[in-house]
Amino acid sequence: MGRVGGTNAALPLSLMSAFELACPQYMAMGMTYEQFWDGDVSAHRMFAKAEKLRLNRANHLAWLQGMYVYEALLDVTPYLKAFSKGKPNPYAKEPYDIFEDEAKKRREREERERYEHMREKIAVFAKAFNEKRKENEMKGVKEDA
Amino acid sequence: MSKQISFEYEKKNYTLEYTVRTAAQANEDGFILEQLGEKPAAMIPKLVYWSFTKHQKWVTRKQAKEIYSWIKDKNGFITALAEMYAEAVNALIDDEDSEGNANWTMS
Repeated sequence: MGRVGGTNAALPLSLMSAFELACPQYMAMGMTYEQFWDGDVSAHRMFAKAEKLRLNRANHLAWLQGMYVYEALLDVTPYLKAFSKGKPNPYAKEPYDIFEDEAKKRREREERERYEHMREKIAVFAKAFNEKRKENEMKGVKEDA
Repeated sequence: MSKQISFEYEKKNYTLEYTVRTAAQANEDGFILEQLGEKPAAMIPKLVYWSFTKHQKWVTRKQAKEIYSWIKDKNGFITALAEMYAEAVNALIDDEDSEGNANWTMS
């Protein structure tokens, strides 16, 4: 079907038209009108990269929030079951560790706590064992006498 | 930082630079980078003139032509200006968009 009147959509955009279309998008990213048209041309790429980072962060936060909601739902599920006497699990004590160093510190702390707990258990066992041995030795001495 | 060319001519300092605006204006004026080799007589004056307009709005086409005739190493000068123009035109193209494309070699 032939075109009657109007503009020819197949014609490529001029550079000026392409930039005019792009200008509001860059302004939405935080660039000023002057920066876009008259500023350093290397800034445009930086703004675009910053926008990508912002979107990525927003996406990550939305995902994180979804995870909290999902876990909270799982925690209250026993309480919501019909005829159930189950109690809801408490909400998570701490937020997730989203930074590597925090996660590492937490792992180290947990490991240290586990170690301390084991050491205490061993100490109790060793004390009981030693007391028992002493008792046996005392009994042995008495029997010999 | 975008590329610039600076020099002194008749006791005046000049800075040449392309921005998104001046690149688009050069294009509106009829400058086409791909035709720089084919039609140098028509393209070079436009490329030179519009590179002045960011920092020296008062420079006329005639003055730009005069200054260009005084410039030594014209090939190097035009190559540098063409690179600056291309940088401005490509300012809105993301480098990462081309990630994953096949590499090519010329034989």
